[in-house]
Amino acid sequence: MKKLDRQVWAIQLAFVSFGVRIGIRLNDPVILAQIMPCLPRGCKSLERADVDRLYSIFVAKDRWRRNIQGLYLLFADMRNIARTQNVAIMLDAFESDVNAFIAQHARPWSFVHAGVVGWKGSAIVVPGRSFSGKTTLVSEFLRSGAEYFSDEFAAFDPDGDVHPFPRHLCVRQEAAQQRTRVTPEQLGGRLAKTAFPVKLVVITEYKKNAHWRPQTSSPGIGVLALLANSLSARRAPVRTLATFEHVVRQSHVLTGERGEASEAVGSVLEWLGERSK
Amino acid sequence: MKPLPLRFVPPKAKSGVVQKLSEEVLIYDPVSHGAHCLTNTVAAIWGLCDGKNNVGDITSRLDNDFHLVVDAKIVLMVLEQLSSAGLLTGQIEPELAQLSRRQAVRWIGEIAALTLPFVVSVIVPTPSEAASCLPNGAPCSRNSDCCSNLCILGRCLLGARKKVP
Repeated sequence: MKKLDRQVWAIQLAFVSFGVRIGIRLNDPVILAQIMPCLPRGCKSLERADVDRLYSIFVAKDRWRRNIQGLYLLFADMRNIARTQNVAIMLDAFESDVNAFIAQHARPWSFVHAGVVGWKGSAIVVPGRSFSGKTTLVSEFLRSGAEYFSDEFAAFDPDGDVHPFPRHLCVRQEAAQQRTRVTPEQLGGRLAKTAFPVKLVVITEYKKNAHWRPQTSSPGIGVLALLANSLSARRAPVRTLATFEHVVRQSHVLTGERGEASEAVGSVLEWLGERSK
Repeated sequence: MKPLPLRFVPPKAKSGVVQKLSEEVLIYDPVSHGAHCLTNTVAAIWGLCDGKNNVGDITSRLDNDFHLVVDAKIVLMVLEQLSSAGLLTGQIEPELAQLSRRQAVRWIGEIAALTLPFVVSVIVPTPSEAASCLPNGAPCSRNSDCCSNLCILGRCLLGARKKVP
């Protein structure tokens, strides 16, 4: 029996999101209220005990030295993924790992690291790595009245429609030391409720002093951009390629460097408006 | 001008997932984890690489089977790119591959050089590479794993990284 399993756990709960079953156990019930907002929105509680991943959150407190902060230990199955005295850091690590695990293991979904917003019944997908400026673009779209799907993952079903995978937007501060959580409503947007077909794939990256001069690219380039940010392509290439083919079948692909987000967003929405006439 | 040699063309690599789009073909190689986008013309040339056809055979079969009139010099350039992308099981013989850009432009003509079909490739990342960066306190193996870009003693620590406005 593993050492972790021998601990006394005060609370155990399980939920399912995108078909992935997640279990959590805590030795300190006080943490529960802080954990709940970190769970994926729309997840459903689960009665069954067998889960795909079990998170253990262990708060180690020194009974004899009460002035010393507790140590938060976070385990994913038996692997330690965070060890910190700061509960916010532990919660951040938990949320990141849960989302990444769901994105990697959801079937038959294909997840792409991307920002996604809805605009007049269609979705705009911005695939890209960390620090490419996805959240900045998504925030700007929300300020323009777009619906919020995600600033982290695009969840595609096998038909190529994108589903909401909402969480609080993680807006990085200037020196990237802290990430501030912002709700889409705070930015003037609203949460998307249903799946949308993809109308536009925007392949872009922030570059200082650049101006948004996009070029139309082929659907194949769009699929390559999705593949380059896919979490499932290595594990299920046939399914992922077929899904991405559905994604780009009805959509346009724009490529280009961007400067200020407001310039790019204004141009993209104008471009979409012209095509919907 | 020196005539182009009709050399041996190695067969295409067999392992791969092929997905057809309207005007392009996508190929994913599960061994190298490379994904390649070919235009239909390039895909037709790739399909004719069976280890038996030489450049001349490929050119004539493109004309006969696909009604595509493609110059042998362009076929050579395509084969070179397919070989570089790892989509052929062998290398194109050096004489064919060692065309400098200057030679290529001279041989093919300036206009043709600008409109050459090409192979676009990306490497499909591992799930952890594709996922977002790690928060402070998370275990890491290199600086780029962390949002702070500071991985010290296997943990992400606070630090500065480039700003995205």
